[in-house]
Amino acid sequence: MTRPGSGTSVRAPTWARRVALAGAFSAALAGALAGACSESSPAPQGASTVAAARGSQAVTHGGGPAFEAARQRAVQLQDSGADQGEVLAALQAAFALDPDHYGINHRLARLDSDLRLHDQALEHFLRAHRARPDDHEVLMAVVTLQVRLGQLDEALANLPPLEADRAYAGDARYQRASILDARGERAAALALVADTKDLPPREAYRCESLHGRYLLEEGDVAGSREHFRKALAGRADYKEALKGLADSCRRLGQDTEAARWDHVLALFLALTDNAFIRSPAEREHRRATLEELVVAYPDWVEGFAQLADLQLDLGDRAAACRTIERFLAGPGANSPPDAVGKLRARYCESGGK
Amino acid sequence: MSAARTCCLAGLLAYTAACGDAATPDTSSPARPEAATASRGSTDAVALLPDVAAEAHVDFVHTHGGTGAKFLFETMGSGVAAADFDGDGLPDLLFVQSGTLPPDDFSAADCALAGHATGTTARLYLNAGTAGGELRFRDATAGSGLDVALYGQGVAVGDVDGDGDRDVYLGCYGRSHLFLNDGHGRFTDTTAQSGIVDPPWTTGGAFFDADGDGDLDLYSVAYLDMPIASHVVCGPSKDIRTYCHVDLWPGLDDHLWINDGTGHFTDGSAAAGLPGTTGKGLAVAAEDLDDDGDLDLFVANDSQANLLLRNDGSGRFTNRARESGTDLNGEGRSEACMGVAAADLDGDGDGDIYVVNFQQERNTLYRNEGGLFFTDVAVSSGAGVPGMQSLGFGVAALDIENDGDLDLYVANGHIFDNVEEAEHGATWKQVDQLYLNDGRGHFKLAPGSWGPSLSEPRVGRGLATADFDRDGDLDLVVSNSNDRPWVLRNDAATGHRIVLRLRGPSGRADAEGAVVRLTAGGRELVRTISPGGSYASHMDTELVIGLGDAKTVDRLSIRWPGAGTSELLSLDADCRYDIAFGGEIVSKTTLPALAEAR
Repeated sequence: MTRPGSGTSVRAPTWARRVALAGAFSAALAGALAGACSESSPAPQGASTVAAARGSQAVTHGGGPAFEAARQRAVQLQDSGADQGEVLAALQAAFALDPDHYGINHRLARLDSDLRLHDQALEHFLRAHRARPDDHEVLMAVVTLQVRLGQLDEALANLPPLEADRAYAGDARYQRASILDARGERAAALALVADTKDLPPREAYRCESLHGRYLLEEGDVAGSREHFRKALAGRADYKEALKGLADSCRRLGQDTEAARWDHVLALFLALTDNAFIRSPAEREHRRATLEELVVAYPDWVEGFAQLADLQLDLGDRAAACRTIERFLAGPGANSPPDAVGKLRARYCESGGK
Repeated sequence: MSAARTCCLAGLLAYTAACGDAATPDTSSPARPEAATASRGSTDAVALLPDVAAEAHVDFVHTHGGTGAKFLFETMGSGVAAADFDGDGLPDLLFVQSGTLPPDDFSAADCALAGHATGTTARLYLNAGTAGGELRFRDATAGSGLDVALYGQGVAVGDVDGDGDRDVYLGCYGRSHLFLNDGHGRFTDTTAQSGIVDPPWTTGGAFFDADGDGDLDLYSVAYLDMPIASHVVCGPSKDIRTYCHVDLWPGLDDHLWINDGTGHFTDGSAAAGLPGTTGKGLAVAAEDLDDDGDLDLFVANDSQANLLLRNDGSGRFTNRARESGTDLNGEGRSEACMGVAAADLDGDGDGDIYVVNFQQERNTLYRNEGGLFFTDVAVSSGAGVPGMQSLGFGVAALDIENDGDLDLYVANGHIFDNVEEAEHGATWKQVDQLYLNDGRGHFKLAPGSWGPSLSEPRVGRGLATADFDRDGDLDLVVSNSNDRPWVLRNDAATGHRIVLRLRGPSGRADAEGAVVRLTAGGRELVRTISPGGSYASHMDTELVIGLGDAKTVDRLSIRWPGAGTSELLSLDADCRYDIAFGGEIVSKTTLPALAEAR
């Protein structure tokens, strides 16, 4: 059941963010990795809020020293990986002092999304959007949640600026197609996702995958398979495309390839199912799964990063270094020299990070 | 009963006769009826699905016993069975009851602890017919043998000892129970002698002939390994306590119990090759998904991949969920699956699968493509997206209008009784949903004006169907958590219909697994007596098949489980046929004109 559970913690910042922060990668490599970063979850990861905080939403102090102190405390707690309850309380305290603050709402929205409390997440994203109307990352999250919650008219109204923004045009097109499809306008939806020439592959993957699904429904199995492949070329860990590729291959009698994609998808599911379990055993399970994934599916560059980070977190720098070397010998073979140096410094040298 | 396979009945049994000595009633009015007046509720608005629970003397109230401790089993509700238990030809009602929890000492995970505190038990209501035009039930719980204390959840019904009556299996939080029927609606608890020793939390099951030996075996669905000692409290804040996510507990093994024909079972799980059935199961549906003459199983798991267990006909199963495309939804995600219906929803002659899921997840419709391949068509079918606004449990595929296609009724209700505090826009009590089929597998929601269950929110869980008032359409009953049930009389049906009671082999009450193919009005319709389905509930096995405008069934083919196919020609519509195993018509009666029945 998708319901809040205890022990939930805010997910660690993604690989790309950390890499970007550390300045360890060249722009090209970081860009390549970032493309595989934010899973197709409807919104960025994030947090939760409570009724008590909402009850005080009418209190608007508009910042001030008290708010700033509360904000800094909340941010510090969240970024240090403190207990979720503590983080929540701190964020809510800051929120109560300034319900319209962009950063606090963004953090609460992310936490709500992580807890799959989509209504609350939408509320906070909307507040963040009002604070910064030009932040299209937030607006994209708003649209995604509105579609998920069935607020289709509201989502449609929010799409035009995203469709005009090259960075979000692919996702926006996907959402418009999904809305049309939900309203029974399959032909129009198909026409939208069939035209992706103007989108770079990394932005087109959702449209390609949806195109694949439409063709699969219509019985064009071979056609669907090609679109699922295109989707994975843009986003290697996109589960819908992995499943679609497995299903289409199987229907075409390509059982070996189907089994390969089945296996890869099963490994991804092992990473994402049981998402509320946070325990030492879970970390070991995650490590083992990632180790298997990078072998079975080296195209998923993000996997090397996640694995190396986890190995570092578990205190196994030697393993992290081996992971990076495997990456550099494989999919990262063409990395710029400065990025290679920074990666080795981060993962292989004592005191790195 | 180890009945040998009966001989093949490929011979043609032509049967041409009018319905009794009466002229076939003309019920061909194509227009929807004016609608009956809602017989209960706060308004005088007409309703096509009025709730008649009070008038029918169904006064059951479900009690989950929650004290605020937030044990997960409290919120799972319980199921309901619709079946003729006393052999009078009328479908009765059995409501599974949860119970009142002892206030403090709940250390032993035995469901018997639950009901003892207040005597809450399952409730058996025998159908007393429709004297005066009103449906009536009689509470026959006391002395029925079913009035035993347990923390019940699911129910399965089947004639496990082959004596012609329907026996009862109850899945519990704690030990599951088996009760044998004496034919008059009085039961004996044979759990100890039955050989059935389930895991400590079973949510239901399905009786079906797994190994083709003529008797009913049992697939029991197990949920979580959640002893009381493992209880934890969850919630998005310290101020809001909610039930915890199922991820916190491991799943349990489902079991296949093999019947020796007398109601004594042995664990056949390993021998059947049941692979990887450790899961978090909430529902099972038996349907011949690969059209090879035996019943396969689809198990809906909560937040884990589903199972599709293909039967090779001898009782050996292979999990083909991944290969068939039904383990995950089309997005490659496992869903929190609560209930399932397996039937031919798009009218192409094979069994599709409809799964209802948690709020903010679509319901999933897996369209059968043949070759045991399925495609998730949730969005394009129209049966997926509306489910995102509700949390579905019980589900039934039934032809509510008798127009020849199968509609979908979903009983909804959130699991958090305080979800309004924890989640904006969500509600604990929710309205049910009725998806009307356009005949090609495309669905639209019926409006709330159809009846109170579609407009007045409750916490829906179990759901079953039967023609309780014997007017030739399927009525519904919904067990609502901590509340009164809905007993919904179908006043929406206008089309012609044929009703089939198919008897089982060697005196067994029902022919579970029989597949009916009929041609009427230029259409071919396929219906199966499919055990299981819904959530924690049992549907009456009588087939009520809507025919639309067709007044005659040109051809009726019945594939009997393990016994070949029989065929009948030129059957009049608007009749109820009682058909012996093999295809001989035992009796037929004329159904009332639907307008007269109302």
